[in-house]
Amino acid sequence: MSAKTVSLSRLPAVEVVPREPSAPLRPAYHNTAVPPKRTAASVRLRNRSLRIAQYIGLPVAVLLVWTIASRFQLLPATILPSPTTVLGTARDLATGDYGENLFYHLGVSLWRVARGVAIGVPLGLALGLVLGFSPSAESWFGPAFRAFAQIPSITLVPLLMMIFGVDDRLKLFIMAKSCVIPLTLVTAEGIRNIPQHYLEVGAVLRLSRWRQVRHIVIPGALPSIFTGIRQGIAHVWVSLVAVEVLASASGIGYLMTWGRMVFQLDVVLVCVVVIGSIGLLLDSGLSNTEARLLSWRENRK
Amino acid sequence: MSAIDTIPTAVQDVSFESSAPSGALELRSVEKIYDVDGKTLQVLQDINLVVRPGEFVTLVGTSGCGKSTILRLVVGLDNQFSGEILLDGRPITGPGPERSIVFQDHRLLPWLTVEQNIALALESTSTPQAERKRLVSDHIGLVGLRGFEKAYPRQLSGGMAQRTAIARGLVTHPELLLLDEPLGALDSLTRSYLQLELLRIWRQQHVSVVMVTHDVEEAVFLSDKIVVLTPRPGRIKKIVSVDLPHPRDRIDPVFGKLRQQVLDYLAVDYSI
Repeated sequence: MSAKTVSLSRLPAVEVVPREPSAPLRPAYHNTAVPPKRTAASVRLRNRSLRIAQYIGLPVAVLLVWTIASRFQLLPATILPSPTTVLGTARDLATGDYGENLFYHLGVSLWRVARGVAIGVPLGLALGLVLGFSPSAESWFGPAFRAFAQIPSITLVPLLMMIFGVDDRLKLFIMAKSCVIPLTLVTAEGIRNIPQHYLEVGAVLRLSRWRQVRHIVIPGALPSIFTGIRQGIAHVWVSLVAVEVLASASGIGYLMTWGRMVFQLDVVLVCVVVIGSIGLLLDSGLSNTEARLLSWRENRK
Repeated sequence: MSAIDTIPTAVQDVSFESSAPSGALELRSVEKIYDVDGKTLQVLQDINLVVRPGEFVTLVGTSGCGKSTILRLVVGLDNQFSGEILLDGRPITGPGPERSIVFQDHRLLPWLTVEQNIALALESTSTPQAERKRLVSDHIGLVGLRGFEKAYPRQLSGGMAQRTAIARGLVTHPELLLLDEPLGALDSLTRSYLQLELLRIWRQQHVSVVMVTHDVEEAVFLSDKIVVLTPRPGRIKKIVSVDLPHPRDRIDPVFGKLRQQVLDYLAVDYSI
C-alpha cells in the first residue's frame, strides 16, 4: 500500500524530467496538425462555385446524354438534332437569319406577361384581401372561386376563342386567371392564418382596425402574399406560352408551333431552353426581392 | 419627529391628492364559465381581490387554476364573465391605456425592431412624435437595452425579448401592469436577474403589478401579497401578505417560512 503511494507521488516528477526546456508548455492535443485556415474569402469562393455547380450540374448531364444520343444516332437527326445544330439555329434565330426572329417573339411574349401581371397581381391581391378579411365574402364567393380554380386555363381556350377571337384579349384573360387564382387563395389564407396571439397584442394596444391591418395583418401575411405573387407570375408565364402554342400569330409559343409545323425540331428545342430560362429568371428575381423585403425573417439556409 | 409633526395636515392632503391614488384594482365575485361542447366548465368561482395602488400582487397556483384567465379579464380581452372588475372604481369594459400586459411568450411582432415594437404601444395615443421618440428611448434605457434599438426579435435572447415586452408594457405609463408568467420561459440565471430588474422597475415606475407565476419563491421574493389559487374551479384559497423589506434575502428564515406556508396551501389541493 505504502509502496504504491510512493510510486504514485513520484510519477509526476519522472514525467517532468525528460521535458525539453524549449518544448512549448501546452497540452498534447495542441500539437495535432491544424487544418489550413479557411478565410472568409475562400469560403465565399467555395460556396459560390458550389452554387454554380448546383445550378448547371443537371443541365450539363442532360447535354452530355443528348450529345451521345445524337452522335450515335440513337434517334434520327430530324427528330433529335445535335446540340451543335441547335446552337447554330439559336444563333440564326437570334440574328433573324432564320426567317423568324427569336428576340422579336420573346419581346412580344414578355410584353404580354407584363400586361398580364399588371392586371392579375392587383386583381388577385384585392380579391385575396377581400376573401381573407370578410368571412361573409368567403362564404358567398369562396366555393365558386375554388371551383373556378379547378378548371385548367387551357381548357377554356376554345370557348374564349369564340368570345375574344385569337387576339391579345384571349391571352390577357387566360394570364389574369392563372395569376389571380393562386394569388387570391394564398393571400386569403395568409390573412386568415395570422396568429391569434398577434391580434391580441393589437387589441391590448387598442389599435384601430386600420392600424391592426397595417401593422399586424399585412406584415404577417406578407410572406404568404409573396409566395402567391411568385406562383401567380410563374403561372402567367406558363399559361401564356401554352395559349401562344394553341392560338397565336406571334410570341415564343407561336415560334415553337411554327418550328414544329415546318418540322424544324431544332427551333422547338431552342424555344424550350429559352422558355425554361426565362421562367427561372423570373422566379429567382422575385425570390431575391422577397428576401430583401422580408429581411426580418430568420435567414433560412 | 418634531419636523413631521409641524407639517400641517392640509399640506399633506394636497400632496396626497396631487399624486392621486391610481391603479387600484378590485375584483368582486368574479366568475367565468366556458362552454365546451355543450358542457359548462367553470374556470373561476367567486374571485374577490383588492390590489391597492402601487401594490405588487402575485397569483400562484397549479396550471389550470385560472390565473391567466384573471389577467385576460382584467386587461379586457374577454368580457364574458359575471361579477365586477373595477379599476379606480370604474368597471372595465375592454382594453384601456391604464392597463397593459406582458405575456409569457413575449409576443413581439417579428417584423418590427425593438424600438418599433415599443413605439407600437404609443400608436393609438395622442402623444406627439418627438415625445414618442423620447419615451421609447427612455424605456429602452429603463430595461437596459441600449444599443439594441434596431434589432429584430429573432436577434434577441429570451431575456432581452422579455425586457422589450416589459418596455412595451410600460411605455404608455399604465397604472396597472399585468404580467403573465413573464419569466417562466427563461433560464434560472436570467430569471433571478430579471426578478431584480422587475423590482427596480416597479419601484421606479410606481405602478401596481399583478403577476401570474407558478414559482412560489419568485412570488415571495417580489410581492406584497400572494394570492393562492386552487383549480377546478379556480378560486382563492388564501391570500398571504409578505411584509419583508426589499431586497429580500432568500435564505432568511422568515422568507423560508413564508415560502413553505404558500407551498402548504398549494399542496393541500393535490389531495383533492
